[in-house]
Amino acid sequence: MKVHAPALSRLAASYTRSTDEREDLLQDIALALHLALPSFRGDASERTFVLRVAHNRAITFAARRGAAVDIADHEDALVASSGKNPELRFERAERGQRLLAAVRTLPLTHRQVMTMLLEGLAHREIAEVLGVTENVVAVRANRARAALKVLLEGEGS
Amino acid sequence: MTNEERELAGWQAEWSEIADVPAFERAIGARVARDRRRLLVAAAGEVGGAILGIAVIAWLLARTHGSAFILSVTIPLLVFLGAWLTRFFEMRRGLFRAPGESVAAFIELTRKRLAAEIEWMRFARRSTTILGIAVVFWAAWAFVKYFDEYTAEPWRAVVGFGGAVIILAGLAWWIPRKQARLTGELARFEEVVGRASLDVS
Repeated sequence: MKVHAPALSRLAASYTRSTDEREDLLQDIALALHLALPSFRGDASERTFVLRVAHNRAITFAARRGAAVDIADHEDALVASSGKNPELRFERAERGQRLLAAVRTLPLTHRQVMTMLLEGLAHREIAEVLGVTENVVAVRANRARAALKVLLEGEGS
Repeated sequence: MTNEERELAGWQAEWSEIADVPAFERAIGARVARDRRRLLVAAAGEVGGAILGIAVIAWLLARTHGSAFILSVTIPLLVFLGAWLTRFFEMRRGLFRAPGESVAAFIELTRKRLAAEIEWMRFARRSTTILGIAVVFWAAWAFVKYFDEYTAEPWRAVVGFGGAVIILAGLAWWIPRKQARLTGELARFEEVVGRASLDVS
C-alpha cells in the first residue's frame, strides 16, 4: 500500500479543502482498502484496484460533505467562468499547488478522470476504475483538460 | 509528441511534485496518536488526583495526630484510591502503544481503547455508587457522634457534607454522559469501518 501512498494523498487532496478533511478521507480510504484487499483477485492491476476503492470512498465522502451538487455532469460553463476563483488566488504559491487548486474546482466526474490522467493512468484503466466505457472517459477527459486549461490560464493572467 | 500530450506531461510532472499533502501513513496513525494522548492525559489526571488525595489525607492525619475519626475516614479512602488506580492501569494494559503500524492493528487498538474506556466508566459508576452509599452511612454516623460540634460550628457540617454531596452529585451527572459519549464514539467508529466496507465492491 505504501507504493500507492503518494497517489492516494494527492487524490484525497483533490477531494478536500482542509487538512483535517484530507486526513479524515485518507483514514476512510485506508480502512476501505484494508477491508477490500482480501477480495482483490488480480483481474485488474493493483493500482487500478486501489484507485477504484479510493475513488468510491472519496465520492461517498464528498457526497456526505454536501458536495453532491458537483456530481451533475454539465458544469462546463461554471468551470470555464471560474478562472477568478478566490481559492485559486490563495493557492498560487507553487505550480503544483496551483494545479491542485484548479483540479479541485472541476466538477466531480471531470475531477475523477483528471486526477487519474495526472497519475498516469491510460483511458482503459480509468474506464476500469470508474466502471464506464472508454468513450465516456475520452469525452470527460477532453472536457476536463479544456476546463483545466481555462482555469490555469485565467489564474496566470 | 502532440501539443496535448506535452501539456499533459507538464501537468503530470507538476502533479507528482505536490509535496505538502499529508502522508498516507500519518492519516492511518492520526487517530491512534490522538487516542494515545488522551490516554496519557487521563492517566496523568488519575495519578495527579491520587497524589493530591494522599497529600490531603497525610495533612489531615498530621494535623489531628492520627485521630481515630480521621483514620476511620481516610483508611477506607486510601484502600478505595489504591483499588481505583490499580483497576485503571490494569484495564489499559497494552493500550498505550500500538502493537503495529498496519491498518488492522489500528482498527483493533482503537476498538480495544474505546471498549476499555466504556468499561472504565461502568466501573466508575459502580464504584462511586458504593462510595456514595458508604459516605451516606459515614455522614449519618459522624453527624450523630459529633452533633454538638456541628451545632456549635455549622460551617463544618456545611463544608464537609456539602462538599461530599457536590462531588458525588457531579460524578453521578458526569459519568453516564461520558459513558454515552464513548458508546456513541465506538458506534461511529464501527460505522466508519462498515461504510468503508461498502466501497469494497
